[in-house]
Amino acid sequence: MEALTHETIREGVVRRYIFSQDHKIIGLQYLFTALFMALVGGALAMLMRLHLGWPQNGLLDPAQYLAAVTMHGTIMVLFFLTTLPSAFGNFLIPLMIGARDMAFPFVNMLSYWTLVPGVLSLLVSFFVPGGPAGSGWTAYPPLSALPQAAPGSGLGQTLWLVAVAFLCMSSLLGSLNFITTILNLRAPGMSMTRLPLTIWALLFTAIIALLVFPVLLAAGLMLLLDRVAGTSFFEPARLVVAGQVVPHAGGDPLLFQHLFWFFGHPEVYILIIPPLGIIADVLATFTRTPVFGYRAIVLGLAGVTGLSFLVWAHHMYVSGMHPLLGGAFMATTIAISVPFSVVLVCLIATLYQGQGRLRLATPLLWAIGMLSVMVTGGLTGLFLGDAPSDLYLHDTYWVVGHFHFTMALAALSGGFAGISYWFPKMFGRMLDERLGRIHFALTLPAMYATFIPMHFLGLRGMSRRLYDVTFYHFLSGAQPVDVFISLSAFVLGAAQLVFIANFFWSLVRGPRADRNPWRATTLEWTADSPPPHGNWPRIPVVHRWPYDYSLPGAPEDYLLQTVPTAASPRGGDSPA
Amino acid sequence: MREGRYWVGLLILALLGATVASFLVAARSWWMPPEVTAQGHMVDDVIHILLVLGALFFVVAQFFLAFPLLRRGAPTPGGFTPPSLLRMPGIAAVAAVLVLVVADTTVLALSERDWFRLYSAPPRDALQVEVVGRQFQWYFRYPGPDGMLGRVDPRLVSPENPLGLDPRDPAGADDVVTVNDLRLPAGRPVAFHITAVDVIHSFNVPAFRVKQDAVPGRVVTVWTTPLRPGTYEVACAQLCGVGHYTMRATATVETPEAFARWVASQEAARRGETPPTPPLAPPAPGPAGLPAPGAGASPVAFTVVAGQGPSNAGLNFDGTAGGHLVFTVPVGARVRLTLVNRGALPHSLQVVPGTASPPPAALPQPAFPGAETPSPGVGTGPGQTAEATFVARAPGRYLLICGVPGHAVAGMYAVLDVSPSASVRPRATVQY
Repeated sequence: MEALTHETIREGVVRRYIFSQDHKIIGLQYLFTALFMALVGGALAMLMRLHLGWPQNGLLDPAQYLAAVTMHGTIMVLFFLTTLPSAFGNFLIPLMIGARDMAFPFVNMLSYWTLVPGVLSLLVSFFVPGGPAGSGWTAYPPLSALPQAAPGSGLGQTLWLVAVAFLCMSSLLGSLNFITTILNLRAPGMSMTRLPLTIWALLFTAIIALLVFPVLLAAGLMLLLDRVAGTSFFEPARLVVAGQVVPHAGGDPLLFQHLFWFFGHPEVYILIIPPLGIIADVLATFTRTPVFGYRAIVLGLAGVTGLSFLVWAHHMYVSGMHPLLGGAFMATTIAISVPFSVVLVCLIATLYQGQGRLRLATPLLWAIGMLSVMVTGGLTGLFLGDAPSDLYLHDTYWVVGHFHFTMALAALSGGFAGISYWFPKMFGRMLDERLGRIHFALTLPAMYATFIPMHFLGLRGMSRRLYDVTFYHFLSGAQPVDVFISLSAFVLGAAQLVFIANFFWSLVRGPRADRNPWRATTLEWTADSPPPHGNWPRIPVVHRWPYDYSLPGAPEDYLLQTVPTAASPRGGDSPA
Repeated sequence: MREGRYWVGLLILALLGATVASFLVAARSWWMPPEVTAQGHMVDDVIHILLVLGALFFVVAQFFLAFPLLRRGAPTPGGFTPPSLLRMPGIAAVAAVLVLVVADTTVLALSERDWFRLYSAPPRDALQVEVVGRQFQWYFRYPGPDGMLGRVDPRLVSPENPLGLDPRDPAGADDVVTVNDLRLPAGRPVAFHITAVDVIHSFNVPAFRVKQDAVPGRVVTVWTTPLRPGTYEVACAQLCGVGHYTMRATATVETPEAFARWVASQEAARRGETPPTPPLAPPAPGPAGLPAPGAGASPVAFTVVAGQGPSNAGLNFDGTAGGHLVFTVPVGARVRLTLVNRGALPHSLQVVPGTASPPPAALPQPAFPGAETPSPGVGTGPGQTAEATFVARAPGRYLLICGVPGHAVAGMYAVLDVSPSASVRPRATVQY
């Protein structure tokens, strides 16, 4: 490994940028794929809001609307927000733990190139007869299993399942690599208690992904077999669809829901834990103080990881499963809020204790924004984890508002924090600070304006996925709220153009970044910006934990992890 | 750099204020519809407790986010010493988590109690109603005087027998089935036995605080006691296909006397003493006698009223939906259809091939040249009239749909039966 430096490897363009085994190139491939999918998913969101604000214009027909709902959810959850942590993980893990590359560079390349057919399959499904899948991102059978049940349940649904299967395999390969690399390739001196919290978060995420994606893969393949091979995993006997008796017997639709949500709820933590780790590092760097409660955060994330496998059926309180299960899952769901709030409280306390030293910059803005939307979304989630109140709010717009605050807005904000923080390391240039602040100042209020009013629609009783709510008298007063939400969503969408402009302008024209523009402590800042293949001429040796900021008696207000403890009398490891 | 940070703190405070204020405004305009059952308050109580607790945590957390950005803090000289747990923010952090644990535990205990009360076994004297979801209608079946629901068999399902009731089962002989029309007596517990025949639906009556998925292959029973007479809306809460948004029914809670009268009228209708539904007054068919086939002959004329009354949320022809209205014409007849739109939405007519599921919207070509009103995908506006004239050239069963997107799949279609016999008398019938 020691000899695998940039100078010794002469590769063609194809091996270097397309079928690359360099973790940084693969990380950027994931990043650009994720951002592209975010654009597609965002465009679908704008289309939906355009329709929902003014349904009488008939911009979309009902089948097209449901296709937009389904593809927006699928693309955003599975192909944007799940792919984004893969981008950070691939780019950062070797750099932050002091390794030259991932443990299995070929498997790493394979994991990206397994994702690509999934993306293509999903995109192709827009153009098949009947249109793309229209049964929601949850794809509950029998609606998703029987082509005669809906226009989107034809070839579009089959391609959707193929795409999801590829994504599962890609995530499996990626998470295996993450875990192996973090556990085995740490630089000398990099003990587990000296890992930056970003790496801890990515480790927990990879453990969750390794355990839940096989379950989704199984559910997807079973559904695929029901569709194409005549099996009946999820269809009971005696179904009558479109006037015809369906030749299936013996299956149970609830089995799919259990399998799906056994994946689906931990998936939320796959999206949200990496941003929490990222903002912990960002908060430390920009408050110039150590993260408050390093061990409490690690234990909190471990608690969330463990409990995340025991809460899935809170999505199914009214699904028809036995109410005793509802009672049990309500207890585990309320329990998971405790370790989760420990993490949030420690992060807020980090900001609080650093108030005197705080340096305002775009990454810090997004860390604060992430905490704000995460707190809001976490609290509205209590209403859905609690079974009696979920009885009323289940499948209403309250749910839509809640999960956008948590897994969409919080993950997105954490993503913006991470991109603006590591952009200099990724591309060797700085993002424009002024555009970054404008983007933040437009986006955060637009997030609240778009998704807070959805809670009122939910309280009013408005179901999700309704093409036109004017059918219902009790929803007759809701249309002005929908118009307001649509207008806010357009502002939110337009604000992202500022980010895109900043990203691409800075990529070409941004001022050159030196090795450590934020004066941060972790190992990636000891490599060149951008780092060459192999990262360092020599593997760094680690002497201290990653949060030695403003140490009394130190020459500067930060000490890189590579500074020997002999050079400074105190610090070196986590205080508690 | 520090002086530039106040705006961020103010932004967080502004969002905090706007969120709290908008909830207060919403509480007057877009809040939960009043609950009308003996059990619904349990749901509302939990929601209210959570709203108060959530607001408390929300304000405190957002304030602590904004506070560090608003303080004119100066760095302590000589570096940063991590605070011990006995000082701010350590005390605040531990206290926040402890308060959350206590609040969580309290709410959990209360919610567990209410949850098992809501899902307890229904009282023995409860009225029994079977609720069946089907794309995109709600069927309600009452057991009749014998108190027993008859057997159903999916092989017997037809437009006339949507639930597949087995006529050989005597228990089913007195069953009463309604479509999108749930009637309940006030003050008596009612047990809903909820199921579906095709895909998953969800029986959702917001005013009752009742929501239960209707899952094919299993029957789930929930119960409630409606108290306040009135008409409430039933909405499907689980995505069930393109017509999901139209899957609306009404739940009418009546005095026990009015309910008893309604039951008696249904029993009488069941025995055939009066028509099952108010007379639909299908327009008189064309000229009596045999119309001469082909062009030039006087056409068979039908007038079809779209949006006649509230049936199927207004998506009906002559007050019917789901293919219960059947027009019969001899092969080769010249047919003139006059559409009168009395509804609130645009509607159209188009004759399309097929006998089972209607297409979601107008097809590019009707089954016969000219067999559609102008621009069937856009429709004819409320209060307007349109015509279509065509020759029913080929025998078979066709669907007469509203071509406006979403209407046909929601049930707005009738059947056009082109009989192979040229001597059949043109007629319009309602078949259940």
